[in-house]
Amino acid sequence: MNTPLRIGLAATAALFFSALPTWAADFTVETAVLDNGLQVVVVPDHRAPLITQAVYYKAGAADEPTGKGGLAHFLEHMMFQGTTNIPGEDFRNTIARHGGEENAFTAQDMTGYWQTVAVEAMEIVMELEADRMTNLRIKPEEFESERQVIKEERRSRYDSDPSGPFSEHMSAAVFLAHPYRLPVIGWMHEIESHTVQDAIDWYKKFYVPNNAILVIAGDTTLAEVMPLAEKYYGVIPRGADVVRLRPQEPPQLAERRVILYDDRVREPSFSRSYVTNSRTARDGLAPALSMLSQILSGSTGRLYQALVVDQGIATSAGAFYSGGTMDQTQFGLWIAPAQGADLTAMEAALDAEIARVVADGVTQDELDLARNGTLSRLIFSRDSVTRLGRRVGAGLVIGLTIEEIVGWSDEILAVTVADVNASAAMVFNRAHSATGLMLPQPDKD
Amino acid sequence: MDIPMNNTFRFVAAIVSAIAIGIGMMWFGAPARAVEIQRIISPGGIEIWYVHEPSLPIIAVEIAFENAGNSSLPEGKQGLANMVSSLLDEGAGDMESLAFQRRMDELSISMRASDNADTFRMSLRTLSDVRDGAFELLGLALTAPRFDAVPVERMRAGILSDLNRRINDPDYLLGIAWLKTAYPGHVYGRPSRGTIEIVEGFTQEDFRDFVATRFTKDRLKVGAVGDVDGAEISRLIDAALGGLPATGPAFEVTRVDPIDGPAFQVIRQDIPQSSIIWGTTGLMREDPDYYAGVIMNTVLGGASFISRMWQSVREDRGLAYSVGTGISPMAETSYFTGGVATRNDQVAEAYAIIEAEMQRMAEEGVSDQELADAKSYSIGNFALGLDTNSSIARVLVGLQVAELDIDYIDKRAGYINAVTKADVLRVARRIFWGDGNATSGTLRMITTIVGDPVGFEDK
Repeated sequence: MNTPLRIGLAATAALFFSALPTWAADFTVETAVLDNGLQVVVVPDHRAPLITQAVYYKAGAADEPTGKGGLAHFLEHMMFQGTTNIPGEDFRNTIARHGGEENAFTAQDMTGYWQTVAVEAMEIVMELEADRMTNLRIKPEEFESERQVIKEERRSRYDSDPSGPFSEHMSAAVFLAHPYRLPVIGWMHEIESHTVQDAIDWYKKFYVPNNAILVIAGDTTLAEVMPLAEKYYGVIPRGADVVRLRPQEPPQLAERRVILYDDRVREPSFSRSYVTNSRTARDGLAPALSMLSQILSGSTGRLYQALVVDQGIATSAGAFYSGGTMDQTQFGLWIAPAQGADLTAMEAALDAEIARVVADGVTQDELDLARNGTLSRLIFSRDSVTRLGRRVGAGLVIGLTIEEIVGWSDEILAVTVADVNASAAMVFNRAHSATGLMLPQPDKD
Repeated sequence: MDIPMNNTFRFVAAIVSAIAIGIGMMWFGAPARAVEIQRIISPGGIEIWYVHEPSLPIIAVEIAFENAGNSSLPEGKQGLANMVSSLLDEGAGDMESLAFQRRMDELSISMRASDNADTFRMSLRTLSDVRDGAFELLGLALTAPRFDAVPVERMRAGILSDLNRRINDPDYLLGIAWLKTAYPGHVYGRPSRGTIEIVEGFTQEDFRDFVATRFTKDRLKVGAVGDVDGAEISRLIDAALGGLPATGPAFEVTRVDPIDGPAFQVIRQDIPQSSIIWGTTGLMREDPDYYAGVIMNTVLGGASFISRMWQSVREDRGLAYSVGTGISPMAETSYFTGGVATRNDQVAEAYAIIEAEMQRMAEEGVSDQELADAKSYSIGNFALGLDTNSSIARVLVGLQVAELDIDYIDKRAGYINAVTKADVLRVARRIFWGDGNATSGTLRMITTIVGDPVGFEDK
């Protein structure tokens, strides 16, 4: 076991507007690594006698073999079906008897499992979670039953509403080579194709302590957690090193257009995504793009003011950027067109706004507002220690360090107008973009 | 289990968004956190339930106006509360829309208005450093909203577009249709967002009248959590809300139950999966059997991963991604409902299992083990809702709206523990058969399906 590293409060005081200190956005994280490679992280908060345990595996949909779409998610379902020691029903009932809540999620870059319970039940959930890290048992009949559940899930989420296929087709157009182009849940025919052996191979390769991060957030300390972590997780043998090799994007040279027609569409949708760098590129672009998306978004932001307030051609509009991906990410623009709006003119108006940002840049006032808002939200985010824990876990699993995760507020504070302007010039290149329209079926003559 | 991020169960979203329930079951679980609630009467005479939490530099405030939700509105004005909720930050006092919203941005405050069946709500979250400015905006939004024509038309366009989009949304249709069937001719049966025709007709006078008659001190409930002392929170609340009128007219909502089932309807849509809601009369919050209902529902379908329905529909047969039930008490009604979504050709099988589970519950009740497990689940789970300042502020208002005691959080486990197997059996028979003393009966469910279910005639 390594020496625990304690990251405290980095006190950078900066005053603007309402005198927001960035230290107020900081929080304490304690961490250590077990001999088998499992990283243990504790985010203490003693307001309520609760803890949330989460285990993040560095295994997501983007790590799947070609043609095995949805395998990471399928395995996640099977993780609730029991081990050689503990039937799945007992696992669920044990947590429920303590009034706990639990769930799991699969994303492109990670699979995560969590339970929130009273602090007295911390040892119990650690024992349960450690058990299924190494003792999973997959029964063929349960595998088939779960396949049906997953197909129902796909029907619910993607196949009952045209916005499901629209978003799937957009992702497939945004990325040319990177597996982010494929849906996490998998295409229906690939869900059909998975075998028990596929799931076992996946589990054996990725579900090892040296490929996982244990995060406990709440009313505890690293000193309390470590003996339990050693006892339950520490006995699991280290696995082979995991190398996450994913196909990467080639240079994108041509803009793409996706148009989905569907009878059920009553109001058209418009979106555009530009491929760009995430925080893991460590090139300074991420905090600047984050500020740029803020400046374009919200009801006082540029897009809403131009397209909704001034021109009346949209009912809503905004931008989004998420820097929290392992590989490249998307900077997105979206518009809800006004009823009867000329969509060609609307897109031209959007492009004019983008051209204006690139040509004239943003103002110091806009940047100050965006920064202030982001820092405030980071302070508000401390109200939920579960969410803080998730932020740390999701950051670590894509390769950020704890210093980088806690220090995001300092990165935001350091962004200048010149940074934002440079980021706009870089990101708004139509050759790196896909534009999507979801439209009603044209009348058949 | 398992979810691509940021998703909750679809049917829950359907029920919540379409039916706009006030306080769900799980809300009133029970406590572990020692929450010390102060009852403060401000110098201006406003009652505030307050929790002092010094460890974070933020203040969270929740406000409810009772008798000010959709049920307070006359026929033909449904959706007015929803539209007003979109307009309160579109200019107030001498600040027009953009100026008001820029001020909110400068202060970095979050202020959200919302409405449900019986109440109008306002949530404020601010850093305590800028509290004076934040509470000033809160006060202006509630006492002096401008309703200028330009932002009104902008918000109206957005709402109309949203309503038009929902016309083909299966989950929205499902919730609307179920309520309409359950509460024919009653305000609880009308869509909370109104209709396109109704929203097109709202005038400035409607908005002003709504504010003048419903944002009144006699309807007001306030909960807050923050790092300032009681005197300071009183000063801030008085500054924001002291200018509200003392009283307003009472809008009568008649006490009502859903119609007697069984009743059944299918709304045909060419989609691969059918969504189903079934339901009947539930239990009012003040019903002596309320906690027995909580336990019964937990075992049947409320505690999602461990309930009987979860086990039989999802785990044993793989028929659905999620299935669950809940009891939703409101001011003048309560309903029990459940939801599931399954492939069209499996609807008959899934629904037969669901009916069999309800029938079995009414015939046999629960086992000793199920009773004990459901109690410990319900007691432990309540504590999970007291994890953040914002969630505690919401609970503080919820307690007041439900007319519960200030020490309810400490007492709740006792209410849960007092429930017996006989209580659970009686309450199951009441809900499913309509008679707690019957020894046999027929399920009285109102059932609505949207999709293309095989083997069901449209009725």
